[in-house]
Amino acid sequence: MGTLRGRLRHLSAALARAWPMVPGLWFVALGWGQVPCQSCHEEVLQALRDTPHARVAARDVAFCESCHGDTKAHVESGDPAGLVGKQALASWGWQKKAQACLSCHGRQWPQYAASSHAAADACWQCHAVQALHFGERVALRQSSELCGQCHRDVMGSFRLPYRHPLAEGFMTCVSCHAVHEPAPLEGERRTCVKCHREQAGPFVFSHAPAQEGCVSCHAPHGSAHRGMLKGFGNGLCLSCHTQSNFPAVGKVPHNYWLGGGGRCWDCHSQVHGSNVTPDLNPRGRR
Amino acid sequence: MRRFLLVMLATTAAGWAQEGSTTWQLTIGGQGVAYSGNRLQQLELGLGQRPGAFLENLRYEQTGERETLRLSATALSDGSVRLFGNWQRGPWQIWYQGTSLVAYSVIRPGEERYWQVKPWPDAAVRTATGEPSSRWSWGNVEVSRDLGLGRLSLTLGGRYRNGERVPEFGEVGFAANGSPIFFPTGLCEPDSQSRYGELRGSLWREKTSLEVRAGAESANDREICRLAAMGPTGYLDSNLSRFRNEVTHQWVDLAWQVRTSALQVSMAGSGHWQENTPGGGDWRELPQGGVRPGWTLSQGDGRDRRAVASVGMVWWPWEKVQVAVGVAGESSYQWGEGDWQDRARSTSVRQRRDVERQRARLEVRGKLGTASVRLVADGVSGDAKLTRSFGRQLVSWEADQKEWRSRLEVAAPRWLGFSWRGWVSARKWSEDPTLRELEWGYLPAPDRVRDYAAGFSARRTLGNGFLGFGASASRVASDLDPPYFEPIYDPTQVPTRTEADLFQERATLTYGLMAGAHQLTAELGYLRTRYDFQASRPFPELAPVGEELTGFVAAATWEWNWSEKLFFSAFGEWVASRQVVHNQVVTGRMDVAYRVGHAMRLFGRFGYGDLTWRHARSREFTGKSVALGLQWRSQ
Repeated sequence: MGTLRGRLRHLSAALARAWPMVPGLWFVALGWGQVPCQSCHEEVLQALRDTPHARVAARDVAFCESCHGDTKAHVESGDPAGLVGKQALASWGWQKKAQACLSCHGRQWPQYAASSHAAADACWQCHAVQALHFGERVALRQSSELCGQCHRDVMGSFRLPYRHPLAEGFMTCVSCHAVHEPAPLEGERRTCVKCHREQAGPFVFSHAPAQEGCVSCHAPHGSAHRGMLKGFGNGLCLSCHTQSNFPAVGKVPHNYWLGGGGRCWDCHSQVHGSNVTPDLNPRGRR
Repeated sequence: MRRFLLVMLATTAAGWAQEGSTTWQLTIGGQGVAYSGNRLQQLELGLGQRPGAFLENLRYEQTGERETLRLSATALSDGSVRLFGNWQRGPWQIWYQGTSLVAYSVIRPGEERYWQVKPWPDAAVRTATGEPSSRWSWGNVEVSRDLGLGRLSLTLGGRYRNGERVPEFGEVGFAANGSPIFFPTGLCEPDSQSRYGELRGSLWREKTSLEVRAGAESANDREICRLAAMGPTGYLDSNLSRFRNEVTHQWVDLAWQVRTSALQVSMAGSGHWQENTPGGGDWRELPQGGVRPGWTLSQGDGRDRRAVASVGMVWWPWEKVQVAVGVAGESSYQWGEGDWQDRARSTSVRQRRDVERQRARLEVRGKLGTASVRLVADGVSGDAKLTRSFGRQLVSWEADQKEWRSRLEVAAPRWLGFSWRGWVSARKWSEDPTLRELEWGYLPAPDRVRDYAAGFSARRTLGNGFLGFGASASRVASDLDPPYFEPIYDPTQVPTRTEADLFQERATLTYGLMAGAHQLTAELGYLRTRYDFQASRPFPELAPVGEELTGFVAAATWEWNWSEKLFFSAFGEWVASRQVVHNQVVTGRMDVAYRVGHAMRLFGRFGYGDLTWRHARSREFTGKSVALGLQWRSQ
């Protein structure tokens, strides 16, 4: 009887997959559309009702089979030997592990294999396995909390006084980082100027570092200095604009200005680029 | 038969209705704040909000078999607002999000040290009074439809910023007679906005996928700055400047991919086109009244083009080995010009920059038992050409740029009871310019940068808790040849090669414990950065440029579920920076929540924030806050 019931459920689930619209609903309505796992593992399926996977788990046995393998023999005999268990799952290569999720989510993240996170052990290293089985919401977990498990040094930077408003909840790590995709071809600058449009220009006289990447001067995760600058004083500028007869810079002796405690951007205030002067000093010739 | 169908449909519908669930959650409260010291600094660092009512959270969620709706909103007492959510029905999905927050400028004339201009004249102080703040708002809506064999989505978004900001600079200029002019900190009024739309289409088969994105953006950036102009003997006048930039931007991204069980090949391309019309002007508001025009920039025109193409391959020769190879080429062209006019003198300003780059990348990943290794090598070679002119200033050069990066990562999840991650990386960058033409100009000369970094982190479970620690260190060594300049200012000074080093070290230690109703986490952190300028220093007493900062972080959180009804938590944090920035921030927060009935919680919060700053006493403050509120949840 159990075998027959298992076969019927397989059949109804297969039909539901084949006709996802109205015909499939008949089997749902008849109670045959539920996946064969549900009759024994009710608690897992119930817990999944609170997750983004709720619908697919209740409808499609492929959800369970993507990790645990073909369930047909197990459903018919009740013997778990043929299933992929926790131990076997752990021994898979990361490609196989990733494929368990990518069989559905691969459409969403077609270039995942080329991303730096593809080196992670498995998708559930970040998307906790509890989220798949025990009702913890993947979507509602703070991504910063997830990322901080590995990137502890970065999370430490967000404790510094000048930082992006991650702790306040106005941003998360994925506001800037596309964690499932390879690094953007144009570098990180395109990410920054999505919000910081004024600094994007284009300018008549662009400042080369600003064109190359904002992180040349800024520490976007957090800094002890205002403006999330990498350095407090003139060392930041002098790491490129230096010469051995400093405080001359170029042909101009800067003794007077710098000796007074001034900083480079006191005069060269348009550090991201200027439309007025190549010296980035808009009020230099009053 | 028809009746049977109707009964079944009704049963099915009833089943959906029962399966669907609706959840409401509302958290509101009111806050009182007491503070002493620099109120703006308190606001800038976010260590305490304004007194008033707040809507901390309004969440609505409706989940059904066919339809899902989520909505979350926040409105804090400082004026910050956040909204996000999604709606899904069948193949249709809408995501929306919006954020608006207020940023404060801490610096106020009269409170800062600039150029020994003391006492501050009233005219300078008047340029920035009150609480200068600017509002940043951004958000987007994405509408998408799953097409079975693909997906189509449209994103519309925008960004807006306006208000006031106090720039950190205090500028220097020269009057017509050559005497210096100082511009102490004043007040700027930014007003910028942008709107964009992007259409994204994906098409996929079993082994191939194609994705196309095309978008357009329009932006207006405007800013008016008012600065008090100070001569050697006192206040001269007010300087008013206006800058504007109108930008249009279009882009197209294309990615194609084919995959078999052992091989994935990808091709991608990206193109960007920008056009802009900058402009601006400068005026003087004279003390006796009236306005005297300064310079203007007219006929501003700019173009920016960028195209990138890449081909990549990911190959799995064995189950636990992955090899990825990629090459990319980039071509960019930027050009801008304008007519700069100062009184009767008209000057043409112009710059053109062309960059061609090629990039190759190799990445190998392998797994041995539970450990994994990742090795990345990345090389970039390029050629840049730049020509710029401003009146009789002329610079024209061509440079070879080379960059080499490598990184090795090792992860061992089960070694000595800890889960380990370690990495080492190296980077070498060089630019070797060839001068074409130089008149009355300045150009940094050949430049080499070497960058080394290493670090590790470890974490293990200890009974009901965990222990984690990590450390990293890096060194950036710059090696610069003497710059080019023409004409030579002082022939007695012959510049030689200059070297500079930036060292950075950091370490963190984290501990967490769950014991019954108690949960504790603690973190200790250390940060040190040192910039060492190794060149000869003719005037070290005048302009020291070496710089060191040592930072410490200590933070702890304790949560205690006293009973089913009473919850208690406390958080404390101490962040201190020494040497060049000698300050410390202490933050504390205590929460008490009491559950009334099944759906409601009352809560109280007590906050404390304190900043001490040895080098900037005017920024110090202490603030305390008390908030009371309630949370209601429908389930």
